[in-house]
Amino acid sequence: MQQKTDQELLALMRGGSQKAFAELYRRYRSGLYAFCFRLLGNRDEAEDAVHETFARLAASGASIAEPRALKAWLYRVARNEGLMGRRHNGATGDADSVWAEDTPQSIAERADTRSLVREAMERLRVEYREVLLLREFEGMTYDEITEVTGASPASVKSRLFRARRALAGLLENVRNEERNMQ
Amino acid sequence: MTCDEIQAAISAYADGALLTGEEGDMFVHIGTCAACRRFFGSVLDIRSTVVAATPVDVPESLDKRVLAIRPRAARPLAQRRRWLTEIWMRRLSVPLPSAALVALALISITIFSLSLLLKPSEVPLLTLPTVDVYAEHPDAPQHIE
Repeated sequence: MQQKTDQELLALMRGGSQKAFAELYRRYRSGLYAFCFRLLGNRDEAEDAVHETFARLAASGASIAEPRALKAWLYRVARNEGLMGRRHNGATGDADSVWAEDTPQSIAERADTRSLVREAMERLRVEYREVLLLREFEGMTYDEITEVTGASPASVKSRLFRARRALAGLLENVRNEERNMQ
Repeated sequence: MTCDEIQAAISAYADGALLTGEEGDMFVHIGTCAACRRFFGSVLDIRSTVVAATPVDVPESLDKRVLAIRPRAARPLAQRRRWLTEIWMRRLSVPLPSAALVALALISITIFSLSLLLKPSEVPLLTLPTVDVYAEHPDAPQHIE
């Protein structure tokens, strides 16, 4: 059976179809929940954000101006719901820094490169973390990230560069230490 | 190009957003610059970390909560228009007649006040001196008594 497009499912959902709504949920649940979990670092908050997102879809799906951009709409609502009230949480470091905390030195002690990168990503300020998650995990384009975050494409490009450079700097420090130990 | 510019280009390249002409310059620079080569390697490390990332399991409680939601069917356009008309009429039915009554009362009070203030002699004479006008007319009879 041919899979229905988001537009078709949205049209059915507007007619009150529970089946179409459930299909849209199944289509986006994993990516959306993983994004919220990685962005917020908390399972309960991620669950609430995703639940609220689909509750809004069920209540006002008819008002989505551009059904083709449903994915961006879902991620935008989930992001806003998740970040509401905690925008500045953990952002105690320098405003110009990409890190949410002063210096993530503790994670540089991780031996495994992958766990180091993963933990370093969690320590990025939210505006850098979200663009990196949307780009690397969700494979979104600059325009799609712009739709979700509200930042300009130039800003998205710049944040991605700064986030990568910060992570690369951290990786290089670890590798230098490893070389010195040998 | 500086190392900063090359590393920005490497980041854009990783996103598939680098212009075709810039790609050659970038790779030539990477071939000769150890720092930019290391940066390129780190960008690949970040990508491989993502690829190897353990999937995040969606909790069953979320499935239950979301699938219990019933989507609200959108009202047909005609019904929405009728509803809007009803609201419009409801909103007009009280304030419009009230405003008309108030305006009528104000006009009446103003006219009444003016009529009290003006004495009968000050009332402008609007009647024309018909006899003089008639007399000056070329077709008028010469002798009027």
